[in-house]
Amino acid sequence: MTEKAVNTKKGSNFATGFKSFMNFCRKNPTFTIGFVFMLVIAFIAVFAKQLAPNDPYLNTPKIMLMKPFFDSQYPLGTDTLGRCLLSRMMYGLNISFTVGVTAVVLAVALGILIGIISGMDYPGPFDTLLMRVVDVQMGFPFIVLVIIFVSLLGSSVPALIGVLALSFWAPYARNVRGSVMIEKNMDYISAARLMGAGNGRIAVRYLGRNVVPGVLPMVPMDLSAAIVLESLLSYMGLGVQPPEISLGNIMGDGKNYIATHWWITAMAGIVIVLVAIALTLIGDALHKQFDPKLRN
Amino acid sequence: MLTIIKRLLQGVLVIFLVLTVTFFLLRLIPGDPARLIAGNAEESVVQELREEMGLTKPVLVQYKDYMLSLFTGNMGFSYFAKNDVAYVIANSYKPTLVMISIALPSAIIVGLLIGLLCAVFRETPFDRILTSIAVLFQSMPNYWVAIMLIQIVGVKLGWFPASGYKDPSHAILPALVLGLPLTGVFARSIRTNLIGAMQQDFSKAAKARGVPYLNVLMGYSFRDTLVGFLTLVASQLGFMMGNCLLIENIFAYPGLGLQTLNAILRRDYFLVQGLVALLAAVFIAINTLVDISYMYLDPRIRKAQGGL
Repeated sequence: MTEKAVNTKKGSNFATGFKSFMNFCRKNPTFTIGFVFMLVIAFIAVFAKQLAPNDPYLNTPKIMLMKPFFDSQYPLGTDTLGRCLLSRMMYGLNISFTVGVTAVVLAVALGILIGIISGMDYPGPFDTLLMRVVDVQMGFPFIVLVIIFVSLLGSSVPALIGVLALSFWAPYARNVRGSVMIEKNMDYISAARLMGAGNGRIAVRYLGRNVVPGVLPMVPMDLSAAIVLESLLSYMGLGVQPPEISLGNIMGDGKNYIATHWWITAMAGIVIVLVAIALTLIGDALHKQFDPKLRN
Repeated sequence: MLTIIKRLLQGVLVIFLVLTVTFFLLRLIPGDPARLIAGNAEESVVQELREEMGLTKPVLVQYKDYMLSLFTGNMGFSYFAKNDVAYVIANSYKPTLVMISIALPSAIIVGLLIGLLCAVFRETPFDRILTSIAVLFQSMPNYWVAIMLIQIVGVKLGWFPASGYKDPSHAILPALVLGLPLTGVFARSIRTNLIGAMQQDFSKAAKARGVPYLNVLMGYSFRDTLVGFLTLVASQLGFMMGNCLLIENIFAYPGLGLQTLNAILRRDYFLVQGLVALLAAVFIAINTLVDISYMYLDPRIRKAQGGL
């Protein structure tokens, strides 16, 4: 199983990689459920424009606040302006995913970069400085940070991505630094140095390859946290601004009619819950795979 | 002892840095408290107000003044509460404390119980159902749970008050929202770690020696998971404090979280600084305590850290 997992990671040979991936799926049914669900959701998010049954921006006051599951034209009903909720949720998924995925990718990249620099410099001045920054970041109630940054940068999609990326990088940096501090004293690094490899080459070709798998299991959890956080900020009116649609916006719109039309907020929330559950299942399986203590 | 002193000094440094970052970030945000207080008043009036509030001084001078006054124990003045920051904090910590002291112990107890049961009956339908519930608890966005609970339990069923704070019964719904995800996280972690510990040699050996099942479970396997559990609880506390802010906002629950949010939105500079420093201090204090308790709990860590 270990060897096969290594194959998947390297992806040197597509066929064996695919085979061992299927094997992994068979051994982890919960992973497969989560993975397939996320594929479907990602497909909907990417092709929202083509799949949506109606124009999500089109107001049709005549049919406002229609109940879900009553009309085949509007399967999930309509909101206060008579806009199709199913189409709005599809478009919302698109933006929520764009924001979440970009933010987490940026956070992981930044975390790994800082972690490697810090770990290689240890116990130098750079390391001390960077780790104090990490401490501050982790000691800062991060919703406060988010609100301050949003008021500073204004609420646009790029600002939102930046804020979320800034909230997630620190644990990656700390984790990567920890592994670099162990790895950099190993024989293969000394051997590489003897062969004349410089710091840059060591960081990218040797350390990078060995420390990255260690942080992979954190990614699905953070992606789910980022999507939830984005929806929260949009719900509070600090995130994606109307007329752009995000899942949080839909909930925020629904909030004002919740006493009589609770299903608007409920349905958008359920979508987020399902995405979060799927990502949790994926994250769990990865944790099991990459943590030798939990294997068997 | 040396380790502890070092930790505390580092903690003070981090609080200082957090305060500095907050101080300058707050003054970078557009919008100023004088304008917010004065409303539609004329510019000259606002300018006078600014001078009175000390906002016309250069930012670095303001920073120096603030830091110096901190050393004399003065945390500054809240523009909107029209009182000392210390007074505002002393008046609003109670609801938050009540909420946390309901949420955290219940989450730990219920989480431990679910985790234990799942590990004992692992891979049975009973375990699968409980584990799924734990995943569900963990995955539900808390603000969404809050809105739904307010609607269903607060308004439709009317079992518990859904907003404000008069007596501890007002804390039940917010505490539930705060505690549910924690319960899920705790239960799942205990389950995984306990199953791991039950398969390790020391558990098997105890079983082979004829130690009764319950003793092996509680005295050997469960004990082994406690250090990890402590780390987890500590790591969740940071998130919990952030969540308080949110949950208090949704429930209009007048604790520290609501104060923080309002203070930021109103640019109540000194109040924000005081609250952020307080949160950071609590966060660091908890982490230091946890590190110290490791040394008592796990002799390996004690040795690695150079002893107590």
